[in-house]
Amino acid sequence: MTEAHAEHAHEPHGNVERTYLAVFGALIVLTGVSFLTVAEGYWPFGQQAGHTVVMVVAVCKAVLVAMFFMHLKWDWFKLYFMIVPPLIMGALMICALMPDLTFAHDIKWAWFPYLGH
Amino acid sequence: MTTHAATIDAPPQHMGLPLSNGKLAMWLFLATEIMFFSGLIGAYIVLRFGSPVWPRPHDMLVEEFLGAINTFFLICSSVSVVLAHAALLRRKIGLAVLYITITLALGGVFLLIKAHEYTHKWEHGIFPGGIFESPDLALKKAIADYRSSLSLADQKTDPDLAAATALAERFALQEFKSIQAQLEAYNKLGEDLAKRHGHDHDHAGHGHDAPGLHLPPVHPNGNLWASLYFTITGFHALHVVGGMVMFAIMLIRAGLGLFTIESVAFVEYAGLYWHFVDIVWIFLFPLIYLVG
Repeated sequence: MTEAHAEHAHEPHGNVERTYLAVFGALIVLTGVSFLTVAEGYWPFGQQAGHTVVMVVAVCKAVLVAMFFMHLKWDWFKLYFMIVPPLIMGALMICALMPDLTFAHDIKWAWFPYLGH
Repeated sequence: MTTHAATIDAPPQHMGLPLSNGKLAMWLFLATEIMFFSGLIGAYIVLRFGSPVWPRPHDMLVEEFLGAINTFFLICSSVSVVLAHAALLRRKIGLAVLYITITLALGGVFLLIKAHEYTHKWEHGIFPGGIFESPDLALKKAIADYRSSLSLADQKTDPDLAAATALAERFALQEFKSIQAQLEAYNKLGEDLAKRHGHDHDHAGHGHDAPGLHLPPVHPNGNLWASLYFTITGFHALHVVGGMVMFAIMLIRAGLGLFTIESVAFVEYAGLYWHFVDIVWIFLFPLIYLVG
């Protein structure tokens, strides 16, 4: 009985719904912010800054969903061994592909052979 | 009548990890899904930033507003599934079924909006292999199609055909030093033709009933964009369908009276999957709609 309660012991038995709705509010605000960075006339800081804000906001939203909706705030230490390696490997894979496809600019028009450039 | 605690017990634990089997299994699956989507999203990042030119979202009929609405609906569905779980923990089965129904409905709305986006693109020739990537070939095709729709007498006198043929000859003589210059001349011709006939150049793709020569839009790397777009969002949509199947099963079981407090585990694990699908969309939305 105590073992079964242990999993939820550190979570408030009180109002989890209120936490969820607070996170929902934060997610909506963040979505609105990222949408505004591309809306005409609302974003004065330039495109690069806009793109950076948009990606940072996306990471924040993902972290909120993972921590609260997926319960990782309480389960992280039981699960990180399965979550961190795929994230590292995914990032490494992109880094490994970049020199071949992103940085080989001397073959710029290689895919327009029929234009003879 | 025995008194119940306010919340029910967690699923039974076992030796080893302090996790239930189902939770461990679902997270293991989600780890593989992280690899799956990082492959697809990584391909987009690598190919897009390796391309000297890339179509803008508006060129490919990507509307940020629809993406934002879809994000909103998916976030709402994540909230509703987690509220269903909370309701089951409080032994409120009817409320949980209601929340699951809301989740399923919101997933359906997401798919409907996606379907509208897809068909809108297909109608305008935006699909892998359907986009013209070089101005001279697009111009040749437009001239050939238009010529075949005119009578022999009209072919000699039509001003649109004359203007287009003149530009095609300049292309053939390699008068332009770069593809950008060719594109500019091509787009300018398209605008002139549109102005002459009084319609919007952006919709040059369809408008077969309108008079005059229509130049299809030319977007270098458009087909690469289309391949990536339909593959990535298509796989995401398939994952949404998979999640909806799980929620449909829950509702069918509820109809058969099999959805009980013990179903809290099923709801929790399906919810984990659904939140992951939401997280993938949280990254897809800025990448495709906002950053482009």
